[in-house]
Amino acid sequence: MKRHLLKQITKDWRENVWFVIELIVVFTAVWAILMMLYVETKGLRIPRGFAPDCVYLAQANIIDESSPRHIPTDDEGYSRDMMELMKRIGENPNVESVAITTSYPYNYNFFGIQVTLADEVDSIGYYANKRIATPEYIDVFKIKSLTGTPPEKLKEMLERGEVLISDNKTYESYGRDPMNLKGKKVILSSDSTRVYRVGDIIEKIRRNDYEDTFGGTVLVNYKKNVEGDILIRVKPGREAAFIEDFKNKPELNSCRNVYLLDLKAMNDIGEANQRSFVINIRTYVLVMLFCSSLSFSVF
Amino acid sequence: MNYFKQIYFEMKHQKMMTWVSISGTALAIFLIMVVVIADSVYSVEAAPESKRSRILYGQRMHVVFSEGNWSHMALAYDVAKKLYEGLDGVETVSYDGTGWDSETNVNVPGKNAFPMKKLVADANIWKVYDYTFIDGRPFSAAEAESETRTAVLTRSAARKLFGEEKVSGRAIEVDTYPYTVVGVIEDPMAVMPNSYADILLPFNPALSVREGDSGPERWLGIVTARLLTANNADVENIKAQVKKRYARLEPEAKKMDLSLTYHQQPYTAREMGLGDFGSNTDPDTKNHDISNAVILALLILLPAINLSSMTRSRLRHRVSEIGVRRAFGASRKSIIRQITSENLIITLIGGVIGLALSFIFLAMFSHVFFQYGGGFGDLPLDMLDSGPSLGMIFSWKSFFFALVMCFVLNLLSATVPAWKAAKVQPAEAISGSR
Repeated sequence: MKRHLLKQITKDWRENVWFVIELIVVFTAVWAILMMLYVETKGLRIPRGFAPDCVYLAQANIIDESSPRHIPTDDEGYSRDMMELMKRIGENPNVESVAITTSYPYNYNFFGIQVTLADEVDSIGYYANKRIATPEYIDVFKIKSLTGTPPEKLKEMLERGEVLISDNKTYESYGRDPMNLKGKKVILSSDSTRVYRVGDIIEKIRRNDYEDTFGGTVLVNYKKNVEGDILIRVKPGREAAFIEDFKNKPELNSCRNVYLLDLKAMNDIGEANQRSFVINIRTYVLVMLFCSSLSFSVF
Repeated sequence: MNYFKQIYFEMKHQKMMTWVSISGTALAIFLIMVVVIADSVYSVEAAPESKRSRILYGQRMHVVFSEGNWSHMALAYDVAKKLYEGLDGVETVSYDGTGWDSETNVNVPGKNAFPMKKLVADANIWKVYDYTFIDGRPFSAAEAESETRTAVLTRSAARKLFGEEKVSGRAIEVDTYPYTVVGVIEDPMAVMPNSYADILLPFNPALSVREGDSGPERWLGIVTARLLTANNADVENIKAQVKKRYARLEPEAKKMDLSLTYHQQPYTAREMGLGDFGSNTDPDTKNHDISNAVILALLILLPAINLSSMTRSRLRHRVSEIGVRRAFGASRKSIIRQITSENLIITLIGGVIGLALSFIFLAMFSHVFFQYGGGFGDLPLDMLDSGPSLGMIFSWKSFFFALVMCFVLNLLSATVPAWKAAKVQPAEAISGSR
């Protein structure tokens, strides 16, 4: 009897060996996919450094001298026109704040620079993505200070020509604390002729919700005549009214030699530019579901 | 014919098992074909990219400046010429001046403007891509050279602006400049972002040279290149030539404290479509192919193990029948052949269902799981939400591949159970001890 049972068990085991192999393969695949999902979604679990809700981008275009619509102007004409547009948009009752910038999140812009201490020698540099914007950028994206400095003070710092520097995991990995940079004089590799004072330490403004690129962020005040775009934070619930105004009131979308392309919601830009991350996650989930359903069917 | 009778008999008597086998096969083939066909969309040839396998793309250059800053930008014209002009195996070079931002404002004079996607290129673009004209003509080489303000609209753009399609000779404004429409083309497909545009404008790369640029910035500009290679030209050889040219430019760049990084340019349509590279990394199709192969292996092996158990289970009910056949002299070979043939019919039924489902799924939902181009996120949402046409999805190649997959699946799932069933001793089988 015992021998017969043993024989039966051995026979069953042989029959089931493929299921064991299948379960091992499925387990390995599910484990690998879970790991990939964890890495892919890691960025969603850390602060992104900016608030994109209710923010719209209006890309600025210049009517240059060769256009029949060009209005003769001087060297500062572009900046004047941009500032005027910013003022007009800011006065619209649906708008909370407006800024001019050369770099907004989700567009994969990366202006890589090295920040080095001006008065001290340190072989470790602070690598950063330089973002240039008018001080209102702080309000538009609700940029947060890591030292508790209120937004008004951050804006004043930018106006004074100070720079705002973010936390920086890469810098920390070399044993440096970015918080210690507050108040220090620094040189930016993009403009080594000037010494800047670090006004405050802010939350890193990431490029998107998923990736966490190397280095930190340096926020620098916008300079005259640098070509940029306009960012608008609309009051909550007033988006449709503002879009209507923007479409129908020429004073909001053009000023002398500058005109703005249509409004794009920052969330839409984010959705389009992060599609590849979302697709990866969907694919991982689909393959994982498929593998799991197969292993259930074994039982 | 006997095989079909047998399948029909089994369908009647082992309904559950047969349908589970068919639907399992259909699911496996569906998933396999979705992966295979979706991947083929990156390289399938369809108008206006009917010569897709022969088109290469010389894109932006990665330049590191002495201070440690770097730029990843399109090229200055003379740099583009030095890299891509006169390469062995290249028939035509078309220069593009679209620049980083491909959106433009287009309006009929006095009316509201629409944001449109532009493609700014020299007249060689008509040799590289075969756009179908439904009205008018392309802009000529002379018009491109003088950058005469002529424009070619797509059918949809013409409708949006004028409410009709025959609009050659009509006036429009592009970013406030007056243009004349000279032709209207069929809408290109959004899943082919390299040729996709709402409006095509003429470009003379020589006019893009900025006067007075003498420093490092003179290396960078707005020019990129499309290369139409000769039939059967060796792409790797063309890449090797371009790599040599990068090396030749290096001393000149060093004089200006610059360093250039070669990133396997020019890219193939597939490399462009996969977009698996950043500004300072090489395209990584090998990695993509490896992960695809792993997914395909999983998609075929796992269902095969399950289907194998289904086959074994179906055969358990037929042990005495197999025993009788063996007793009447049927050879093991013939038993194995019969079982695998019957199973193949089930696999083929499942395969056809799976293949049809994959076509439908890809035509309707491919954008949910696949992205064609736009690695740098420069494509608008409406482009990302469109999928390939049925013509791009269906090919005899994919049909043949599905057939091969059915055979493989059948072989993996039926051979072992058939072999085991054929081993049964007639006396044991008939007595019911097996």
